[in-house]
Amino acid sequence: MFASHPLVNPDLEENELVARSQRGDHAAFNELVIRYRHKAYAMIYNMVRNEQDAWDLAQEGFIRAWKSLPRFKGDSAFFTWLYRIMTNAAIDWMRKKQVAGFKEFDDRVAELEADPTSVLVPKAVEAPEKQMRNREIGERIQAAINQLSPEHRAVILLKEVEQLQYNEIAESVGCSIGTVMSRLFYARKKLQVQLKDLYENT
Amino acid sequence: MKTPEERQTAWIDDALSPEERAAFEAGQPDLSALQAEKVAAQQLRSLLQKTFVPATLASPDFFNHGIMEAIAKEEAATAKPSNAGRGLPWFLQIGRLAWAGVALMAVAALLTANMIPFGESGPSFDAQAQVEEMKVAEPGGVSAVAFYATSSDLTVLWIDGMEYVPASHALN
Repeated sequence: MFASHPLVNPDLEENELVARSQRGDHAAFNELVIRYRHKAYAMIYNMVRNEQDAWDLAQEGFIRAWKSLPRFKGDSAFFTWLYRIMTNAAIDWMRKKQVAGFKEFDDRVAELEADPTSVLVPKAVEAPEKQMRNREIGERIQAAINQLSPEHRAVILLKEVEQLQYNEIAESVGCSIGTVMSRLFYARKKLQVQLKDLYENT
Repeated sequence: MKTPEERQTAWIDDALSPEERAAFEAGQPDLSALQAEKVAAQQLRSLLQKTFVPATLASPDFFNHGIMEAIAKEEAATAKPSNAGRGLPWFLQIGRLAWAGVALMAVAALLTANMIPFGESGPSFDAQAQVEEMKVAEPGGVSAVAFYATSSDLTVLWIDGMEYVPASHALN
């Protein structure tokens, strides 16, 4: 359909595609976009929850990646590096957007709001009985996520939804592993406080 | 892992080595409370995974097209000033001068032949020249005007706005 971009062998190794892209090969970069566009889009969408914004941010992220490729040294996996660009784009967007209900969240505030010694024991979550109930749960969780700072939101989603390892999250977000773990701790506490009644009523 | 929060997070995520795990659990006054934390985290993970299902990218080909088109445009925009600037190859600079010289000489010839009156029967420019404007599809706004003076059988091509001569037309 869009035949203006010549094709490259889709079986090429990622390293080869990256190397070619670094030399200015558009077709190789097009293939890299094909490989990672769905994951990148899904990750950004989970953070911004808007199809058009996620589309635009993912495109901008790939364009940024193209411009930054000469500086990519291969110290980390290409996708981890790409995730960092995408995550930064999404975090920047969330900061600018100041989504409804958003308030600044840092670890000091979190420590005050979420007592690390508190114990939240949710009652067993049974299988959802009705679609409406599921939707309500989804809205509650989304609202709770929106209360997190962009950095905490990114970390909890990368860990629990994208299922990245600590080091991959650290690489993506651009912080230490310790900071990732600390943010995870407080983000979980915060969400558990927000969703306490949800646990108890389900 | 230094802080208690970091250690607890690693314990919840089963990211501790057996030795670290044993040491951490040994230091906990209430292990059952910690187990409850772990269950809570698992519940939260389950809820998040149910809520945040992978979104599907619509029109993926169009998505790629937009990216590659934007990259091509940016590269064209950044490449053009460098060609028109100081980094221009010497042969293109000579070609540019040659074009300007030819155009000036042609205009001078046209003025001599048509604009300066040579007696009563001398042809006027307006009466005997045909003017045609050619539109050039060049983003830089290049335009060209061709004059043909019938009395002197002379054609002048005036190019305006051209910053450089394409390599295919350069004088070697």
